[in-house]
Amino acid sequence: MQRKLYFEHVNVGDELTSSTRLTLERTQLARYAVGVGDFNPLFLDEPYARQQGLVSVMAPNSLALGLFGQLLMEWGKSCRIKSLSAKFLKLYWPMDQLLARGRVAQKMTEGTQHLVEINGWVENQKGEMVLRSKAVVQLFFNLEDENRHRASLPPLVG
Amino acid sequence: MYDKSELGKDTPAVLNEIEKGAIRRFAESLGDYNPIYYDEKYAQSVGLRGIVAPPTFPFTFQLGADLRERLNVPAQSLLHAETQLEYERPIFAGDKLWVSSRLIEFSEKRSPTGKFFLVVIEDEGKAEDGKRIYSIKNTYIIRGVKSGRPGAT
Repeated sequence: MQRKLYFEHVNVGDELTSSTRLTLERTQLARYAVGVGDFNPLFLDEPYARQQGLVSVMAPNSLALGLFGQLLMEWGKSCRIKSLSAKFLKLYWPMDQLLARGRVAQKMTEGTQHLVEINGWVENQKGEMVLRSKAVVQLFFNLEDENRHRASLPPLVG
Repeated sequence: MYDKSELGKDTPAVLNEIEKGAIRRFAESLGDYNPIYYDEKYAQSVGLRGIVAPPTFPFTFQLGADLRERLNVPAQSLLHAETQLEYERPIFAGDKLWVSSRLIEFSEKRSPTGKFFLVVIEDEGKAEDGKRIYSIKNTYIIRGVKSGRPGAT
């Protein structure tokens, strides 16, 4: 398995898709809420959530961004994330099936940094977008650029 | 408790020590089994200093007070609308980060469905040498608060 992704191999328009669709089991949802340290009863307490007029407990919004982050790190093979932003568009619920996707929007070199901008989103089983995201990741230009960096030599500049 | 008078003021920084076990549990809770979150040798083999935290790990950091308590609003009124993370470098197991939080916007808005409040809070994590490692700006919408404004005691 290739362990690195290099800037020279990335093209604008390249698509990123999660290898699996996450089915949001109730235990997984609860595990995430606890993992993130958010004990909001709307995530954990079914009778309470219904009393508040929801159909069931809901998932913390940051969960779907976590799935997009997962996709980025799988695709970028331990790339360095510079920024990650998201707009949360839709709530999601137990047994929803979430899939993270993205597309390379731009490649740019700023000084010695080779950066890739990715437009991403997470969709549910109905194809509705639950979040829209934008990320900028930094990659080495190629293997030689990485080796120079490791040897503390000046970087290759396009 | 948050109030408009707190705009721009930093909360006291809280120490968050980044533990391998916490990274592993958080990655598991996302169903993310990328070995860079579990296996130090693997992480080093792909050029990382060691086990790294997933990009959204800063959502787990403790800030010393619960946001809903600080805003004095019921949980169901608070909607997380947007987030913006910036990283100076990845967060690694073993890092000790001082995390503080600042209210940067608290405004009343009107929409066709009624009044709501827009709250923007920025958290920042610094290393022990004072260098900023990451920042996160979260935008919340508060709806359906009938009596007065949130934050009022």
